[in-house]
Amino acid sequence: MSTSHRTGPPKTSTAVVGVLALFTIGLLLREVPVHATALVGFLGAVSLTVSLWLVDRETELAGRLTVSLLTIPVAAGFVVGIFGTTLLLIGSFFPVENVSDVSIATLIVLGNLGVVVGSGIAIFGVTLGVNNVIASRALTAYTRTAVATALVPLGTGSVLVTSIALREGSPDGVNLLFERQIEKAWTALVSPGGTQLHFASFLLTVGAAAGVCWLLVRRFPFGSLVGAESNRWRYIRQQATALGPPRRVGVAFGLLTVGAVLAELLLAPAEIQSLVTAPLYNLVQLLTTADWLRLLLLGTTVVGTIWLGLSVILEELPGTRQADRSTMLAPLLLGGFWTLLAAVVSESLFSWLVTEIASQLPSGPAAEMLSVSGSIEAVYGSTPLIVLLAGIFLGVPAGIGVLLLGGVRGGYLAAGGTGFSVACGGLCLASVSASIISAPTWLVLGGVAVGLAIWDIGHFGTTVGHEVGEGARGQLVVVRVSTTLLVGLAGVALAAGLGRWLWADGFDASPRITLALVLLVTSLVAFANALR
Amino acid sequence: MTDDHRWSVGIGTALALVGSGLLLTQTVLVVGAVIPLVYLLHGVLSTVPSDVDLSAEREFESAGVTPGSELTVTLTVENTGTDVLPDLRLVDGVPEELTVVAGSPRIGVALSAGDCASTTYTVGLERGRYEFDDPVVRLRSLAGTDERTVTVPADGERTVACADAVSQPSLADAALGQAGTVAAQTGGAGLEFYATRKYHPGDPMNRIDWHHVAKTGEFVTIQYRRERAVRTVVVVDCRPCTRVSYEIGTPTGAAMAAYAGERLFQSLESAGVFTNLTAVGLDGEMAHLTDADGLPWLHPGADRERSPSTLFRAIHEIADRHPGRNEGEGPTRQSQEKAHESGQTAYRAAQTDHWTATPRADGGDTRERPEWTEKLLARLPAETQVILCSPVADDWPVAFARELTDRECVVISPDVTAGSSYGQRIRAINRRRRLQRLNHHGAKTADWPIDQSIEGTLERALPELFTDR
Repeated sequence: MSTSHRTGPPKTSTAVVGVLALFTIGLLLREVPVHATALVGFLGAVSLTVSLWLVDRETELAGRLTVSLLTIPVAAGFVVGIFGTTLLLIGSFFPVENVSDVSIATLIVLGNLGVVVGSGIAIFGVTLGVNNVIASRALTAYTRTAVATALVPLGTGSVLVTSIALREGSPDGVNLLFERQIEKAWTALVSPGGTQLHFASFLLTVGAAAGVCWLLVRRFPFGSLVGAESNRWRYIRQQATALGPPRRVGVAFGLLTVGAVLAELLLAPAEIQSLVTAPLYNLVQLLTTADWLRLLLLGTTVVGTIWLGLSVILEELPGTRQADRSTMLAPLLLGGFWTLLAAVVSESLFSWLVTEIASQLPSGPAAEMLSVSGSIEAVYGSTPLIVLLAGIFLGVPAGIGVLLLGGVRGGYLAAGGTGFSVACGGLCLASVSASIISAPTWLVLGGVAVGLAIWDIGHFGTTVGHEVGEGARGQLVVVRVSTTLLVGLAGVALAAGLGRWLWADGFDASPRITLALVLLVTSLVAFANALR
Repeated sequence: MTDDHRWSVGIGTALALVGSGLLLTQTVLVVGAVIPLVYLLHGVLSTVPSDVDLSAEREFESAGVTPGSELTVTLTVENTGTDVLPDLRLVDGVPEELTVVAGSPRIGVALSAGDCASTTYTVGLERGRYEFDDPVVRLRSLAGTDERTVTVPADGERTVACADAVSQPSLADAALGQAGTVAAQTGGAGLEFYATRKYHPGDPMNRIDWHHVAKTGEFVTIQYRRERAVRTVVVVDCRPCTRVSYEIGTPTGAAMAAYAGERLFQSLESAGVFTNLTAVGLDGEMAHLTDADGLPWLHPGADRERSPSTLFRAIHEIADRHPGRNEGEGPTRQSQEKAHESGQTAYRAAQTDHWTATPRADGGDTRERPEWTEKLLARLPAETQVILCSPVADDWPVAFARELTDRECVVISPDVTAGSSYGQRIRAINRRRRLQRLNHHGAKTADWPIDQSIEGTLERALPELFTDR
């Protein structure tokens, strides 16, 4: 049969999921003192979904221009939703009177932030689930558009700042912030000293170099060099493929690295030495702290990464259709426009940004920030800095696109109904975070139940849409939705009753942390795997 | 079958809540783990009834229709068992070759005992005989954790026959009058009065007009319209540019041309007319049917491997293959849409590939003969009636007809430009212009709207072919 049916979820299930999500998020947000930044974050989440939807359907110039324009609300949503909310929360809960209250205030800030971020993720997930647009093709197109939009301001800003840095050198105050960190990183990567083993950092360096080399071998154009049809090419191809499978090797290497990190964190060098004997310890240390070896590995990683990037660009550029190249012009031009705009308003924008951020910080960090920003502005000037910041700001959607693309290519976000899984995860995060800020019990339990109901109804709607499309009758959805909600309600009632009856006096503290950590790690792995 | 996935979600959520609750010393989170466990319990307890009893019935609104028309199907499913089925999803067994153009052959419904549900959908028909499979039903439990897929035997109609030319040569009663004989514009042996001329010694006595002799005393001989026995060649145009349709789900121009060609060929054959069959535009893989010049040249008595029926099967096969589609690919809507677009490209390409015109300095026409015209002219015997079945999607039929100076030419043209888009309207204008040019070059044309029968079209457009002479 050749037939094409509407494969989206039925409208009834979509409406129920949307109403449930919005209602629960509304209730959760009532517990949070900041609303404006959260709303900007939600707008960003919706803009991201709209962008993905647009880029999937509108491949022409106008569509790309709109998507490029929408990178502003997406970036604003991310930056304001997370960093803005954090700043406002810090301003609300700090400074504290006693040092002992710092941890409590930090926890409250994290709880509030968790509610906002979780709600934002839930909104993104629900809108994504309704449109079901998280496909590799759409994400690739979106990421390209976002990169093209950020390219001009990022490139211009980088060139300006670098040229000034090379000409003028770094300002004195900035040394404290940047150069010391760079020096620390360089020492840790290339020439770690002391009596420690430094096995974990060595393994990380080896892993990075090996990964890049593996990718280089995979991408090397053997076919062009020896002829794609020859037996020799097939043999080389087989040998290159036999280097894998990367996942198993990667997992084994990752476990070894985690083990090394834990061993170095938990055990003192002398203890490790006594475990593995002194000669072996010295031999391994000689290898892991050898400057020339680390430099070689680091150089291989850097050169290989540059080579890979160039090869990807050079391979994909000729294959890109003329139409695609012309549609890329719109975001590039728009990026140019933002660059000019940023340059024009740079002076007032820089001072506004610094003042706003400083006003939200406690007096100590605020004074330090004003001092450092003043030194930086004196050397670089506000224009290069604001242009660079605009580039970074516009690069945020590209980063989100790359992350999502990684999730899809890795198979995690590739299944149908992914959006509803994301929404469920978001609501569970928001509910758990709400418990930290002393939200009512019914709200926390209700948030968890609604999260699971959204997952269940969303996936049900997705399979119904996929299997019967427009042939689905309303009663089918109503039966399932009402059952799911009733079961959730029963669960909430049972949990609330159990809570009153069992643990009215709280927990015994002694073995709690260990058990909690074990359970949490296990459950997060299981939960993340199950939501796929 | 059980969906274990929900177990994982419930367990994962419960563990996460207990872990978070212990870490944050939040009682509410620990007891909150009960919620996913309740969902889990609901999933475990919910199962599909063990004895499901379903019946299905299928009805066709009309059957035995022509290619391009539509058939409305109504499928009803009834829960004849005693258990409630909370999640029943059904897909009717529509043949792969047919396209659903309206409605949906799928149902998703909850059915109580004794309840029934029905769906009505429409499929676009193509030539052939098609059998509907039994509908497939997938049952799920209330929680969606238990799942079972069964096939329900459907009562009622299951076969649709769409004007199979081989088995239903309904043109037989409208066969070409005196098929194979062409009235020439010269006097000679025949039945119809043509002219009189002066008596020549040796003229038969029964041809002398004795009335004229009695009146005037002058001997004149009556001439009858000469009737030549000629060969008929049916040419089917299935070049890539003709493999386009005006709407998804409708047959291509080449398919309809092949259909017309088959109907005519069968009728001519049954009328005893010696008819050759050929086709232009066969793909490379049809080499076993073609000669060295790339043309098949078949007649009714040919061997089985190169018989007309084999050729028609091959033509129908490639006629449904839109330009750009690989062999073996199913006729999905996406591929049809793609082909619909690429068909326009192929159409434009054909106009330039097959007919290149170079303006001459003196204003004359230095057009070169297209490849297919050259090949056909080399094959066509001197006295031949050519019946060209073509959607006239490009200029080639006009050019071909112009070259048939001393031969009778009839063009049967299925109209596949009935769409309402601007592009299709322009194509329709171009096609009408080409049909006018064909008439101008002396060809008889039959413009066949494909929602009408070919018999009616031929009777209207070419009445002389259906008149017993």
